[in-house]
Amino acid sequence: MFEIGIMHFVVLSVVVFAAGICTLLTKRNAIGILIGIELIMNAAGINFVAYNRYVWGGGEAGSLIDGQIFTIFIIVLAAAEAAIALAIFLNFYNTFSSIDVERADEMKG
Amino acid sequence: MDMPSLLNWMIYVPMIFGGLCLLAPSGEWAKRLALAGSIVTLVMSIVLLCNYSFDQGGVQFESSLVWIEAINVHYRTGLDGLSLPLVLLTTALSVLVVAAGWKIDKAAKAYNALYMLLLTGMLGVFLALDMFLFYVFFEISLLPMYFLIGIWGGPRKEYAAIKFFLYTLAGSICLLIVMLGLFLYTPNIDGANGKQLWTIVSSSELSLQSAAVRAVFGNGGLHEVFGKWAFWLTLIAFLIKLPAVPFHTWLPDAHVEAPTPISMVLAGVLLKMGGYAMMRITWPLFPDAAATFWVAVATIGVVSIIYGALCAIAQTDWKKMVAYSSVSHMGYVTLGLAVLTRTGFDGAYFQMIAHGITSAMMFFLVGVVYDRAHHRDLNRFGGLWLTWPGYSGWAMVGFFAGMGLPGLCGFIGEIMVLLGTFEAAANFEHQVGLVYTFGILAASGVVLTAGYILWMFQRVYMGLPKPEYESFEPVRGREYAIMAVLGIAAFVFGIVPVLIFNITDSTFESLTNMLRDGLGVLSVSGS
Amino acid sequence: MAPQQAELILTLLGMATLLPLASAFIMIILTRRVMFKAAGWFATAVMAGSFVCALVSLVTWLGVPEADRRGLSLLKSIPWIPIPSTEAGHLYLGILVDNLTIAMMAMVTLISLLVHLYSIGYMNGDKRYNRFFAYLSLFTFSMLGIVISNSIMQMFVFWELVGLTSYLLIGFWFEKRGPQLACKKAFVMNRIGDAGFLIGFGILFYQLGGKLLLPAAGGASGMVEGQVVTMFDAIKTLIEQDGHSITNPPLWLTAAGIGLFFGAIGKSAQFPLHTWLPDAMEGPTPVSSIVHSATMVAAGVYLTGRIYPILTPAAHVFVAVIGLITLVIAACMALVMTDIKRVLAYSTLSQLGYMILGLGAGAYAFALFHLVTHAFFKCCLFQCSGSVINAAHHEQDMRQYGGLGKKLPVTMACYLVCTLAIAGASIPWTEFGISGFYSKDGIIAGTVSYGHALHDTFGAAANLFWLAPTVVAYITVFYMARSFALTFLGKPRNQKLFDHAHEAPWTMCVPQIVLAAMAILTAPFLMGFWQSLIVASEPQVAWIQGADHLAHGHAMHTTHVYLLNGLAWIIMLAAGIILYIPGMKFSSKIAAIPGINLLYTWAYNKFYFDALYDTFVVGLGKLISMIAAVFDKYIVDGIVNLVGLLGKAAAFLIGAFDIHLIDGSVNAAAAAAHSSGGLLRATHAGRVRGYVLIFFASAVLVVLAVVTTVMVFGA
Repeated sequence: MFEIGIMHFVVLSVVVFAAGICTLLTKRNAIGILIGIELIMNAAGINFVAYNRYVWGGGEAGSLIDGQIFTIFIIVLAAAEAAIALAIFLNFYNTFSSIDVERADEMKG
Repeated sequence: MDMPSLLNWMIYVPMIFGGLCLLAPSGEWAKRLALAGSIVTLVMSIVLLCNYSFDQGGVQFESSLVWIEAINVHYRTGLDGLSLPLVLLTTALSVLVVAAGWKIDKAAKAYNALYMLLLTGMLGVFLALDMFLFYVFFEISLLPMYFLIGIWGGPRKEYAAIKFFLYTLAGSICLLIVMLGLFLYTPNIDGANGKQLWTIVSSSELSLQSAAVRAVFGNGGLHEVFGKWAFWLTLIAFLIKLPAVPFHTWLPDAHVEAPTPISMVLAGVLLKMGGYAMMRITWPLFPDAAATFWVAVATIGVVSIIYGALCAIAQTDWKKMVAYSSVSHMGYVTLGLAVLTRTGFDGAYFQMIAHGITSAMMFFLVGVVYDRAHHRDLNRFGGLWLTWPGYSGWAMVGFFAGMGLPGLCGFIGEIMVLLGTFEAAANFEHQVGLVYTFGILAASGVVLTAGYILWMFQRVYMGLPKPEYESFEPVRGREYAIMAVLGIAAFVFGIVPVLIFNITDSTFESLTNMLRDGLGVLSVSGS
Repeated sequence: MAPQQAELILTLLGMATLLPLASAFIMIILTRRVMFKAAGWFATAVMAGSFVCALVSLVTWLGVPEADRRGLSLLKSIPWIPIPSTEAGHLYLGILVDNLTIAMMAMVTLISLLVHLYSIGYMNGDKRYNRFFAYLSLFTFSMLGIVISNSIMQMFVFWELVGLTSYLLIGFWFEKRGPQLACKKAFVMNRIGDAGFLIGFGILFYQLGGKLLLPAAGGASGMVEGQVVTMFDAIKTLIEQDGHSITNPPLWLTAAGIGLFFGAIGKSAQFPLHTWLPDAMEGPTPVSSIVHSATMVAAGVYLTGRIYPILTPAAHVFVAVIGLITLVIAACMALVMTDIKRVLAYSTLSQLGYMILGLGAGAYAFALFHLVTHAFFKCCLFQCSGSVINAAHHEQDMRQYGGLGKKLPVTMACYLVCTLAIAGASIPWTEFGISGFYSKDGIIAGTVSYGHALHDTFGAAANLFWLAPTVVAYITVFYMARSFALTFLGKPRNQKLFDHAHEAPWTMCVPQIVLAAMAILTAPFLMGFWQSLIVASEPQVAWIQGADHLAHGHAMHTTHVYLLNGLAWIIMLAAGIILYIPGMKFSSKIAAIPGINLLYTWAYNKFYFDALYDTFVVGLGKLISMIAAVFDKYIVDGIVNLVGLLGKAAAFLIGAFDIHLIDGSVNAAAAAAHSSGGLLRATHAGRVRGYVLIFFASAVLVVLAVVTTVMVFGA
């Protein structure tokens, strides 16, 4: 029988991570980049949950939920980050009437 | 007030008055304050003299405080027969010097304040009994002098001031090296915690310390080589100050550029620091080396006498001539010390006091004329005797005292040094010919001295008055007072020399006893 | 001698010495207004007091029988300079009175008194009239100080003071160039002698130690009787105790004696330091009469007399030779001078040479007696010349004089008496003469026996010791006669000068007369006390070759020396007068004779001593001092400045090193950081995606690297 194992989760996570990276690399839209970051974080979250299960297994040991706690932190972090990022974008938009990150090169070396 | 604290106050009272000079509302007030300060100092020194007990050879009115404990440095001051006459000379001369500077109106406040600081330095040098403290005062006296020459001096004042400063500083470095060496090499003496030699060997402790010191630095001692080096280093430090040939060239420049009162104090007191320090530090600490190298030291003395006089003959600048005469006269001090006889020591010491009086007077006499003529070219003067008979009378006293005429103070020192030199033939029985040579050369110095003084006298005072000097303003009462005080002092000390010798006698007794020990070493190693 | 008599004499002589000092002091401090006119009489009065003191002590002293006086010394000392290393403990100041002191005190005070009186007239109208008397009194004090000195050191002190006062008096008219140079020359030359004195004293001081400083063998104070007369006798005793005697005198004693004698050479203007004395005639004539004839220049003779006991045979020869040379060359120069004062000056030199020769030859008593007699007649001669010069309105050239005797009879008489005195005039073949006869002939007699004594050592040359003084004795009469004739006799050669001439005022005439009288009276049969004092002061021991001949020599005085000199003075006097009555007419012809003219030119130019000294001694001295000064300025000071310069150069180099190397490397580091930053800044393009790409690529690379490492090295 086909059983869902660790490998599936890892592959999923890789795909999501790759999607996030691709989004970051290709999008000029700040919102898009934010989404890409969210994807990368979620990929990490998936990995935490999957490896938690993989390391500790189910049953009694299943009460050990370090990975899940990390994931929750990531989600919270992502939310906070998104809030800050959106605030920055808002200001950015107010200044440049655009949220194109290519325009934000005032401080280049 | 007890005497030790009076003594310490005496050192710092001028400094306090110097501070007040700076706060004074005007230059005139600064002069008055400086005069008051020097008079207060003079009175204090006279009080000390009155309380001084002449029979007691050792240090009196001593005060000692721990200053830097880690290296056993003390703040130690006191008075003995070696320092008292020089202290009196300094304080007495100071009043005259301030009076002589009465017409200096350029930054009078700063001038008088610096002079007061200088006075503190000079008194400190003579009263310090700790070598470190001595060094500090030695340097303190240097700095005001630099500014006094460098700011109030003549056309080449900067050159002269920096030359004076650097030259003397070079000497100080030599002294510093010796101090470090003493600190490192001196073992425990009289059971104390060692490193005692920071304390200048005072006469009361001579017999106690000299044996221990000689055991270390003397011939055959553990640090004999250092002892010899140290002798020369301290000697050079003090010969520069004295000054002796070939370390003398700062003197003519400094004197020529310095204003009159500063020349007076420079010749009158600062040069004496060199001789005093030789008697206080070099000879007592290294008697063996002094006996070993007496020929070299005596040669320096004799060369200074002859060479200084020869240079004086050739000068056309009046002040420079007087400056070279100082070199010549201080040569007697070196010679008197070198021959290691009691008479020589007495003579050398008296010569310092006498030269303090005569050189100050000679510089003042030159200054009186310079203030009016604005030049010092001997060949352009003439007939001053007729222009100013009174002044010329005092000039005769001053210059003839410098010439060493009997009845005036210059004679006693020279004659005693000469006698001491001949007496030394008994010390150095293997070198009697050398002793005679030194004696004969030093005696022939009197001819050269007569030569330059009389030639100068002829060119400046004799002859018909020159029209350009007839409009000179007359010599003032203040100037007469200064000349009179110095001139009368020249008479008094020339006629009653015991005034000095009563004070120094007991101190010199122990000093020369110790030197005799040094000579003992010579006769052992010499034969 | 009773103690109260001794006390009286000491007190009186102390007063006699100090009175002139007091008067000089008063005259110096009192202003011109108070003391100008009165100075002359005031000083003279004080001097009279001083003379009375000396006279009373002379009389008191003579009251003592001669046998008791012989070898008697009165002493009073006060400690002056402490010399603790010696037995005596001090240098002393004080009074020593013996026969010689008494004689000299009386002589000096008398002459000084007369010169003071004379100066009142002579210096009248001078603008520094009061100063002159102050100096003169000061001089008298110094001279008396020498005479009563009880130690060599004290003698040196006054020795120098005499030099100073002589300087002041010669240079009294310092407005003029001549006196300026003369007074400087006198002082410097004296100082050369003084240096010798000091050296001699130093040698004695070393050899004898503190004993030397004791005023006399008797200790510091009191009355000393017996054979030990002065400090030098005491010294002699000490030396003899050390085992020395006339046969093996110590070399150092010879050196010390010659050293001390050098002081006398300077002060008494002996060859080779004689050139200052003729120049000293630039001073006022009263000064010449006391300082440069009667007293100060005699101080050298006095000193030689005092050190007489310690002179070794060799030193005696030295002294005699110096005296001999001086008396010959001075007499030659006196022959040709035309300035009246210069004639007298060279005559003084010559007579001093006699005294020194006499002391060297062992004629102690006659030499010192000649000092006294010479003092009177030479002082008188100078005063007469002063009167003449005064009358002639300060013309001193004898060629301008002539016939002045008519105008100045008193002066002429005095001059003649003194000329006879210096000539040693006597009634031929008898023992009667005037002062110079007794003293000078005695000296010549002494030299005769000395010449004999030295015959073994020097051969025929020893005869010079008596031959030269004898010949010079003739020359002396001749040149004195010459000056007398040129001045007072013949026809006036300068009519204008003659018409204005007048006899001197009484203040000047009286001293001349008194001195002339003294010149006659200072003869043994009238004032024998003078000679007796000096004879009594003669040291008992003299280390002189042929000392045993000396007694014989004194005896000879009565025989052939009289024969030699008895008639000669008349012939020479007559020759001199006759030759010069018409002025210089004949003599200039004689002087033109080939051979003589050369000698004449030499003598007239003072044997070129002055030129020699000016060129070699003074010129060389100045040259050496110039060299020393240049050496000092450029070499010694040059080295100092070079050190300074090198210091500056080193500082400059170090400064450059600091700026370029040390600070440079710091700056280079900063520059490197800066430029590398410039390189890297290109990567900071501000493109977020670029950053991400690099970041991601780097992460991949790191992962790959880790994985590869693990795969290669792991397990």
